[in-house]
Amino acid sequence: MMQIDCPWCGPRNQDEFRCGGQAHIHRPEQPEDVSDQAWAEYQFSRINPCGLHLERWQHLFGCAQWFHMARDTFTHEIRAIYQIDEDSPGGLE
Amino acid sequence: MTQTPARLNHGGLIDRNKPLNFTFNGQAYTGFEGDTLASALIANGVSLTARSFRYHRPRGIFSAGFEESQALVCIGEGQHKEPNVRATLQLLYEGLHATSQNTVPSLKWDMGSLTGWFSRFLPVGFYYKTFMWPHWKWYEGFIRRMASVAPATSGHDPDFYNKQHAHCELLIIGAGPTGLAAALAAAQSGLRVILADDQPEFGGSLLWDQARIDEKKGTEWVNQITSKLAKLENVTLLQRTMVVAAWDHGYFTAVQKHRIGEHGKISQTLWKIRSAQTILASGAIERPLIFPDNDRPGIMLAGAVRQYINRYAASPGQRAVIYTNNDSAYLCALDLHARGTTVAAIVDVRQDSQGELTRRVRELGIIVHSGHEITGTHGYFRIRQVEIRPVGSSGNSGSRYIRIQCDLLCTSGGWNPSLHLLSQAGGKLEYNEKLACFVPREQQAFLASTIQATGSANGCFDLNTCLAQGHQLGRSAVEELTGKNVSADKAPIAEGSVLTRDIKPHWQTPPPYKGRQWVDYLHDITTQSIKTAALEGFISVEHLKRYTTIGMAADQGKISSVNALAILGQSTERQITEVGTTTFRPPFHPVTLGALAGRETGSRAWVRRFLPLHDWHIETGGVMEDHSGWQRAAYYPQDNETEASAIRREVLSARHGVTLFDSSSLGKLEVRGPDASRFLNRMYINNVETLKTGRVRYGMMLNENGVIIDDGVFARLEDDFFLVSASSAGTAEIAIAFEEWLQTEWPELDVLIHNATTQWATLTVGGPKSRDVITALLPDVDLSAESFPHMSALEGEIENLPRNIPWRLMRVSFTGEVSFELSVPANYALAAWEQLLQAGKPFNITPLGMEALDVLRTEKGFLEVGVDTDISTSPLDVGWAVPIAKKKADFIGKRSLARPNDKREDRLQLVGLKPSNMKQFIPVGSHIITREGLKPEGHVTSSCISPALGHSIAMAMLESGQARQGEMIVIDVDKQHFDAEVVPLGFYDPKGQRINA
Repeated sequence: MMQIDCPWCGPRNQDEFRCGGQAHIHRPEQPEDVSDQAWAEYQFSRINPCGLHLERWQHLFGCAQWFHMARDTFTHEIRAIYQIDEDSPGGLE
Repeated sequence: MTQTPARLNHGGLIDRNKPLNFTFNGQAYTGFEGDTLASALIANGVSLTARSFRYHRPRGIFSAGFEESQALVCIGEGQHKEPNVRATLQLLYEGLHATSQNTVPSLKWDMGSLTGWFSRFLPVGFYYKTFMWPHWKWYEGFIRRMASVAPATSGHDPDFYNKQHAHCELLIIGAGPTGLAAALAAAQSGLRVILADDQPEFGGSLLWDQARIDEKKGTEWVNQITSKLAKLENVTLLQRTMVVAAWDHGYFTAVQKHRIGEHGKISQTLWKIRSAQTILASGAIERPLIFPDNDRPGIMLAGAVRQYINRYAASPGQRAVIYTNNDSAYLCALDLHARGTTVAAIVDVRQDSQGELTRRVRELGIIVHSGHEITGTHGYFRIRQVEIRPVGSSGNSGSRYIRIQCDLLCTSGGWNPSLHLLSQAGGKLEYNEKLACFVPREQQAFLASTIQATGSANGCFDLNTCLAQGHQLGRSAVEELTGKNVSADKAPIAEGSVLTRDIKPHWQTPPPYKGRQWVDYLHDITTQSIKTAALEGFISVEHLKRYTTIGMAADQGKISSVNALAILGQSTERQITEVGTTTFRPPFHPVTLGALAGRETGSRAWVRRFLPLHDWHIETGGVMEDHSGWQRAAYYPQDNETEASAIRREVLSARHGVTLFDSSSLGKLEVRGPDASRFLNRMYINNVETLKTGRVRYGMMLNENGVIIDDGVFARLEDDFFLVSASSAGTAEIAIAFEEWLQTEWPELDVLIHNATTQWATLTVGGPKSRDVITALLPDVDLSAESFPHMSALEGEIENLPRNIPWRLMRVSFTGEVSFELSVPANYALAAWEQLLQAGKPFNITPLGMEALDVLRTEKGFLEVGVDTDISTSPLDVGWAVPIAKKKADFIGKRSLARPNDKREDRLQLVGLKPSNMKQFIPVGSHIITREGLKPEGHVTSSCISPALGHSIAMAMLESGQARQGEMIVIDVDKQHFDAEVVPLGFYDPKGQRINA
């Protein structure tokens, strides 16, 4: 049960949030120009690391806003929380 | 009433003014308030309490706490009978009834013990190797009966369970001397401190180890500290509260017990604690030495014996032998002697017999056999004799031995710091050779960095040092939390310790002695089992655990685990450090399911959603059912009619008269903004931008994988205002999906989404006479077929209902008849509904239930997402290829539909079926099979005997269905075969003349 610092609501229990998986994956601009292989990669290919992972989270049972989280998947340490339209801050490792 | 032959006349913390009557296996006994069932049994001279799990060997009372692995009994009777209760934790109360479990016909004469005779054929993992021919199921029933401990309670739980959230700056787990010293140092700071201990009183080991602190009795010091802490507002004291789990970021769950005996009240509270810092002062658990025939009743942990004598004034025996490899058990000898028990001998595996302690015991006339080990014991229901030999005379069973008579054997093989919670939180342990136990590693990774073990949990076994450590840790925790220095009082001081010599590991008695050496008393695992497992290749400690089941019984290995892995190390010539420990997982101690459920039982066990008109549906006799979380009426039987007859009546009303249906659960997602149309065009497979204001369109939404996730209608109420009517079941998911796309992928779109589903009630008036009824409510609106055709939308206001309220009206139909969906604010639902009923009286307006609706839409061949489709169905499979081809713009899922697998012609496709036998109802889910090979090629998804057509019809998913119109296929219904013709969907009024009237 992690404690997550929602940028709008403050520290709340994990069960108020929804994890949206790996972050910084963008939908191809022209899907019709993308090969079947590349389309499958966009849909399904994820890195699944042991260690630092950049993720999207939503405070579903709260403000319903999305944000980014840099989390260590092994220790569950939350290294950074940043806005949904931002890139990850440097120096997280 | 029998005498209590083993109750000491004075001393102990029991209340001799409050005697209590209880029974064990039907026999009446007495005890006192403050006793546990175990201490009371001991005081009554009872030593046989149970039978072990596998071989039904006699079992007694082994410890005095939660680590108990022998005295597991049933408490109570009938539907309140609770199995697997540790007699050492059960507080005694008036009228307590306890019984042994897993014994037939009785504890003393248990038939199960006969398995002991066959133990040669039941080695570790025997069920993988034997009882297989001719079929293992032959033996399963018998083995299950033998292998069960006690049946689970069958009745409804009469007790209540609460849940409590708490936040604190400092959580202290364990209120023994160390925990209390820490609490004392930290409490003055004003920070929120929670101090939890699983016992009814604070004090931990001070309750029995006769210590003196700050020049007073240990128990007096405890009372003083506890009173001081109780006065502080920032301190929460939790007795009878066991912290059972450590989770992320300082989150802990603890179970607090309230009930003693009487049922029907609050039994337990589940605490959920978030703590910034945590001090783990959880103490250490004693482990026994292992020797041949070491599982007889009367063999107990030395520390436990001290607890029974000093805390409970109950004497476990009259003539004791101590068997140890460390100094702490000598204190047991001293306590026993002081309270009148003969100590026949101390058998110490260590050669070193120097020091203060040995001098003291010898002064009292107690013989010390240094450098000796136990090589055998005797006594079936109770120990009566031990046999000892010098250590190192292995291999020579003819060597000199000494036999010592006794009825009590107190053993100590050392102490294991209780670090389960630290480990659960990710903390790492390391084996300390000098202390012969596992201690926390110096540096902890992030996860466990806010948890600090201290006192004997940290491998410190000197009371004075423990007090100092606890005190120091309390102070430093406050300093870390506040950033300020703490000037606390000096640390408490205990009288000096005489325990000076090192422990010497002695994990087992080396062969060749006859008796088996037991490591796990509950599952009957011996040192031989461990050796066999290692020989068979199970050398990883995780494999050892699972293959032998050692440590997997109710005690979760609290007593056996370190002994087991040490023996595994010996069997595989590895150091303990190389063997390591298994992963500790929550809970630390069994938790009753009731505590986890809390108050979410009965009608609160799952979330139910109610429509605004719920009361009316009930009052009208509606039979309510769950539909995706909503309580909805399946049908409204009148005058004792059957279900089938009610449904038929409602269907006929819908086709020929007028019906009233509560559609309030349908989604109402308001999509507003300059980009509303562009956004919805990306979400729907349909063209959205071409929809004119005041018009409604049926649409489908896909996920990115091309699978249909919802269907429904969307209306354009204004140029930049759309109303998305997602399905009742799918609305929440669609609303969430909209937000996700807008926030994470298309933040540049200027759109706002508002889920107004529960703010509006939707009342559907349908049938050939529906226009007459709705017009009565909205007399000034032109609802003729020309002005308000099918798939139109309007907004307005109704006056005086009692005030002016807004309404929305759409001509949408799921039944195939003219149909008006009127939406009003939810709290005016009843007023509007009653007006419609009134207006409909001349036309015999009929409430319509879900079952009838299902028949009506099946007759029309209208699909239902999740019923006729599943998580693999694409719009191409249900006949939408042409509209999709027409839409040039991209939408979610479109790209996936161009994949080869999505374009295959042999996919499951939605078709209509007309069974040859017109009266034969085809159950939903029936398989369609090929004529020849009886291979499945589809399944029936919707079905009914159509009242409108007078015969059976169905909808089905069929391989290559779209190319097989007119073909005869075979349906399997419980091994009977029925023919059916593949026909187009839409059996009733296929041209839609009625729906457009």
